[in-house]
Amino acid sequence: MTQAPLISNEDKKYRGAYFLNQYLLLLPGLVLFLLFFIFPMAVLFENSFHDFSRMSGIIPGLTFKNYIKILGDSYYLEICLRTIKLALMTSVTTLLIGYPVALYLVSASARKRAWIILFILSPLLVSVIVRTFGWLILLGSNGLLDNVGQAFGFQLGSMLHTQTVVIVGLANVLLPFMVLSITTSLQTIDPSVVKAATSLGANPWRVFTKVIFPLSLPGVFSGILIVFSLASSSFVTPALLGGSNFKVLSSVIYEQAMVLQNWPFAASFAVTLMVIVLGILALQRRAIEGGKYKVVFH
Amino acid sequence: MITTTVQRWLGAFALLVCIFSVSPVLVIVLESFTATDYITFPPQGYSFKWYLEFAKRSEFIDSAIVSLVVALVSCLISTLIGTLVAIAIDRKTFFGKSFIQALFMSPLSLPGLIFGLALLQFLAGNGLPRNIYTLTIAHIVLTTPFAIRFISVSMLGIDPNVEKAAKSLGANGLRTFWHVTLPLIRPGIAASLVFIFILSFDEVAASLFISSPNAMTLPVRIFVYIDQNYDPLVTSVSSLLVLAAAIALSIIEKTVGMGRLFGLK
Repeated sequence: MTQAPLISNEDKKYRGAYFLNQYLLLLPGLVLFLLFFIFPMAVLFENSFHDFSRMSGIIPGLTFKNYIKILGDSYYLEICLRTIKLALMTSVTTLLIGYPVALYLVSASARKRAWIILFILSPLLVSVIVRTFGWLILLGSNGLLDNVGQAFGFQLGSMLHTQTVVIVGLANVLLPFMVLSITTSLQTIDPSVVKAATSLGANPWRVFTKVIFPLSLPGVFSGILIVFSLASSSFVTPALLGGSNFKVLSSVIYEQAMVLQNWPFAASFAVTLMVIVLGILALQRRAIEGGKYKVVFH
Repeated sequence: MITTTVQRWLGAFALLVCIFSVSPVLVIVLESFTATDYITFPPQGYSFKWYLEFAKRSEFIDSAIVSLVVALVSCLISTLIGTLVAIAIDRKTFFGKSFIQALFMSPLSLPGLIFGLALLQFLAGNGLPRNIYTLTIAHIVLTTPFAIRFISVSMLGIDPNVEKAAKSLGANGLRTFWHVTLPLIRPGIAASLVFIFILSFDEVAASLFISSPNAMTLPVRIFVYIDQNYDPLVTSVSSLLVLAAAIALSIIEKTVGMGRLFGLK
């Protein structure tokens, strides 16, 4: 039996002896990720450079045909641009709705705060499908809006399949991320800075525009980028609320892969979407250091 | 920080946003009791007929079982793998640490849809089937980063001297972990299990590609149904999901708290 040292100044020894070998600890995770994450992503990337025909399926070989088709064909290019526009407008919408709520959250009494947090965050526990289905019932034909309209003599019919409705649905689903992001940022503002501005004679509006808002900008940016990346890759909400009239990148990926079985083309669309999302996230990392859910774990 | 008049306006606005936030969920629950054969809101009459109809549809029941099994297994395995990785990252030094850390976090930045498509093409290319096992593996990969984060956060909260004390008193590495570290990270493990269970149970983007007729998760089943039909049947299934979320919410509120779970002070 070895005698344990009484005073351990030997951090390294302590770390080394602590519960198993580091490589053994990492082994299960690494095997899982190598087999079922890295390999699949490599296959996807490889397939995006393959050709496809209805008769013989995937044709091996290197071709840029798929990418040229995405960027060269105005139909597909329009879908790319529509996706970016949708994600941008959703970000702005959630910002406009979310900022006042976040501002209220940091200044309200503890009880009110708890209630609002509960109402804003608890929908996150309900599947996106269910929440989107709720909007179908609210805005579809014979839905709430349609029925209320009829009571006042308007024939609204179904409001679905427009960009506005998809934005409403997405804003509803993604709002919690924006509120979380801005609130965390507002919480870090030192109250004495605000007091200082007030005591130096700034009116509340000036305090907000010159002190509070600039200091909350990191949260605003990270919120916009999180919502943008989630909105640009969202599938369920555009598919159900937008239908075939409002195709985005994710709906084309699904259609190409699962309906038309053109896996190489679907793969190249997926890579295109990935470039958009990862590009945005790289911007975010530069701005604030963090990933999609970093805000969750501040 | 803000004057009372502005404060009041902000409060009124926040209330409206709360209504906006929960309205689709409320609408589903109300609509599920409709007596009509078609969807109309506000619902007309009250009945449980869509719940009875749901109970007769074996494909929905099967999917609910698939979802429960997948969520349960993935929250257990992800948390286990995540704990091991978190220990290695927080307590050890090794070659390529930051790279490996980034690798384990990367599913967070990747849209689930793309991962689902990649896994589908990988499985087909290697002659592997799409079944409940591959579905579970997909969910484990997607949720492991969350487990690592949850466990890491609670490991960081441990005073290293406590572990050193145990070691200096003669406990070996395993004993130190079992009797000192593990009890201290228990809240993190609990949060990880609950959060990943919900995440997996609600996951739809990747599952859409990995689901097959014999193993289809409940959200995918609902999606496929809504895509082809528009009637109140799925409002009853959806309401049961809302009920499940409410139960999860009460567990979270009793243990970590919704705000704390998402990192608010």
